[in-house]
Amino acid sequence: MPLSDNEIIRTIRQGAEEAFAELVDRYKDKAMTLAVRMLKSREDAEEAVQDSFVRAHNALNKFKGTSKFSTWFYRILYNVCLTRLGKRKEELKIGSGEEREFEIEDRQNVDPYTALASKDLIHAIKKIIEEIPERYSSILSLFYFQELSYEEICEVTRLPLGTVKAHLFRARAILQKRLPREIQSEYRSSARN
Amino acid sequence: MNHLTNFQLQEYADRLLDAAIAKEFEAHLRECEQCSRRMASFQRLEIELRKIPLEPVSEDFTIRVLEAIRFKNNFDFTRDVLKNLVPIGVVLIVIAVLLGIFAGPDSHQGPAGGNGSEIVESLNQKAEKATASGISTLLGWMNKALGFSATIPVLQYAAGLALFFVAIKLFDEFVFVPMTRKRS
Repeated sequence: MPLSDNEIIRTIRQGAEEAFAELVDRYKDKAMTLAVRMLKSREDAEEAVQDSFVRAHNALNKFKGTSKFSTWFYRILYNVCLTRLGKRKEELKIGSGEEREFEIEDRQNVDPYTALASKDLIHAIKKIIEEIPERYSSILSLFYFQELSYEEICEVTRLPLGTVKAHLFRARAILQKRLPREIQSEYRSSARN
Repeated sequence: MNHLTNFQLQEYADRLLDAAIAKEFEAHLRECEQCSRRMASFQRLEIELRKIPLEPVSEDFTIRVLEAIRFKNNFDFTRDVLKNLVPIGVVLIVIAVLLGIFAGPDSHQGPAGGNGSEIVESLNQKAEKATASGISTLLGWMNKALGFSATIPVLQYAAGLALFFVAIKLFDEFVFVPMTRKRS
């Protein structure tokens, strides 16, 4: 039976540094997913995840175990990504999220068939997630890929519950709106049947 | 009952509602075709979202993380030493100068006479002398403290080095870290 996160941390604290590799292997892909959703760049995301693991390792003594290791680690990663976004001045670009959203919707009106080039629904959804503002895609990622509860998302992002709910709602709404018409019609027909 | 808003549908799907309200919504969804259609669309999206695979990292990622941790630990040690060298050096020089002024051989002499430039020159010489004699007094004290090793130079150096690192560690623990914590 695999060791729990807390058991691994105990082992590391007892001096078995190499046990940290187990934690890295356990969370690297989920962490990468969150970082990619936030930073919109694989290269940057991998650097951010590596940086976060190093920080987590160095701060392991501060981990009290009152929350799950994953939540604590995602909080570190979330902050690292926010710092990187700040450095890139990405916030300025996506800060006015509403305008960007309208831009997205307008684009659908101008060229509604762009998304239809790919019949792959997952690919289409991923493409939309890549384009939505970071504050929505990060919450979406924490909910669906890191499988955190609303309370845990609040803990990671330090956002109030209402804001988390609203961001998730907006993210889903954008997805629904932007999904190509063909897929939308598929939804309609499946709902009718 | 009015049609459910999309926000209400989300709260229902995410099981955020009280049991009583959830039951009400359930009953409404059974009867209202429009709401149940929207709910189905919403649930379909949920299913698709959960199907999206995770983003994989590169193959050697774990090894790179462990190497980065090792590098950081080594770097931290060097940084710990370096960041303390300057303040410790300053403290030692101040102590040496004070020793030279108050405990050195010329400490009881009065001020030098003569014109301004001579006074400055003499003060400079005095300061140099004071520093030199302070340093030698300090070294003398250290030799006395490490008297046991004075006959074996290697041991003396080793003991001096050990003392130096202990001083760095103490400075780091009780002065530098609390100071930076306060600042942050």
